[in-house]
Amino acid sequence: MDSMEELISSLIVELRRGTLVLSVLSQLHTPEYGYSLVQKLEEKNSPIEAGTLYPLLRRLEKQQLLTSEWDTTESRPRKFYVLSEVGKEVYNRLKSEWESLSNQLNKLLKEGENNEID
Amino acid sequence: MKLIDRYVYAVTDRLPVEIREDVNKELHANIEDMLPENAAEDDVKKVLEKLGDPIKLANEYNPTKKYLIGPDIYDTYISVLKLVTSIVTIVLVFVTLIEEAVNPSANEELIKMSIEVFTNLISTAIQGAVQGFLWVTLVFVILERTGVNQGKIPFIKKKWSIDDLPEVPVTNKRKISRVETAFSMFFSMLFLIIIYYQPQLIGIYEKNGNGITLSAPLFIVERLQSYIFIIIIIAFLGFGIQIWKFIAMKWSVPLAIANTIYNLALCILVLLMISDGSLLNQSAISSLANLTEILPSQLTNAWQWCIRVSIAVLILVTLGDSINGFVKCKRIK
Repeated sequence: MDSMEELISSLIVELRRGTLVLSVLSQLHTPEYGYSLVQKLEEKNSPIEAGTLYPLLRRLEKQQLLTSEWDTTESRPRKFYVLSEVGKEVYNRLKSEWESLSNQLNKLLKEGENNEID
Repeated sequence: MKLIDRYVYAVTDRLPVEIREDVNKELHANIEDMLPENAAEDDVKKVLEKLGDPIKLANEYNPTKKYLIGPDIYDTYISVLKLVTSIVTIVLVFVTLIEEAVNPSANEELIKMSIEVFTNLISTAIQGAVQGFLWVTLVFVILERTGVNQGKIPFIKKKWSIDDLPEVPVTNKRKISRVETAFSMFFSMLFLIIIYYQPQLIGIYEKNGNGITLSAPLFIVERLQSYIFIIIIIAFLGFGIQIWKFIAMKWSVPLAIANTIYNLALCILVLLMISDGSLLNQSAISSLANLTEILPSQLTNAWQWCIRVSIAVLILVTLGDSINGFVKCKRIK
C-alpha cells in the first residue's frame, strides 16, 4: 500500500507543477518579495515550497514575465518582483487556457461518474 | 549568522559568476525574512532544512544539462559506438597478428610464445576498445554541446519531417549499404594503423626456409614520418565521411560535396608522395629485382609505368566515386 501512496503523491506533485507558474503570476499584480509571496500563497491555501519559489521568480524574470527592483529603504534590502507588460498578457492567456482546461476536465470527470453508476 | 553564510555559499558557489552576487543578496534576505525575531540557532536550522539540499536549490536557480549525450542523438551514438569500437578492435588485433607472423617473438618454447601472443592480443583489443569508446564519445559530447538543439548537424535533425522517412524497398538507388561502409572503414583504419605504428611492415617479402620474411620495407620510415600528420588528418576526414554515410544511409548534396573534397585531398596526397623520390626505399627495388630476376634498370622502367598506371587508376576511381555521389543524390523519390 505504501507504494500506492508514493505513486499518488508523486502524481499530485506532477499535477500541481503545471499550475505553479499560473498561481505565482496571479499574485504579482502588486510587487512582492520572496518571503511575502510564500506567506501570501500559504494564506490562500496554495502553499509553494520556498526552495521552489525563489528560483522560479528568477526564472520568470529571465523570461521577461516579471521585472524586479531592489528596495533598500527598509532596514533589510529586499528584491521585489512584479508582472511586466508581457507577463500580464501571458498571465491572461494562461488563465483562459486554464479555465477551458478545467471545464473540459470537469466534463470528463462528470461523465466518468455517470458511467460508474451505470 | 555563520550557518546562513555557509548555506548561501553552498548554493551560490555552484552558480555562474554573473548571478552569484545577486542571488547571494536575495537568498540572504529571504532566509532572514523567514526567521522569527531574535532567532536562535535551532530556528535557523529549521529554515535551512526547509529550503533543502543546497545542490538541488542551486540547480533550480541554474538548470544545466545533466547528461553527456541526450536522447536526440543517443541512438546514433550507440550505433556509431558499436561500429567504431568493433572495427578499431578488429583492426588492431589483425595488425598484431600480422606483426607476430612477420616478426615472431624470440621465445623458443611454443607454449610461452602462444601465451605471449595471446596476452598481447587481449591487451591490444582492450586498448582498441577503450580508444574507440573515448573518441566516439568525445565527438558526440561535442555534437551535443554545440549543435544538436539548433538542428545544425546534417544527419541529426531536431525537427522531424516526412522526408526523413526511410524508404522501404531494398533496391533503393540512393541507398548506401552499411556493410560496404563498414568494410571501407575497416580497410582505411587498417591502413592508417599500419602506416602509423608499423610502416616497415609494408615492403617486399621473401619466402625462404623460415617461412615468409620481410626483406626490405618499401618506404624510408623517417621520410614517411614527415607525411604522417597530413595522412592522419585526411584519414580522420575519411572516417567522418564514412560515419556520416553509415548514419545517413543515403546520398545528399552536402555529403557528396564532402566526399569530393576528401577524394581530392586523397589524390593530392598520393601524388605528392609518389613524386617524392626520397620516400621510396631503393633497397626494396633491388630486392624486388633479386626476387623477380629482372635487371634493376628494366625494373625501374617497369616501375615508372606501374606508377603512371596507378595514378591514372586512382584519378579515375576517385573521379567516378565523386560523380557517383552527386548522381545518386539527384535520384530523389
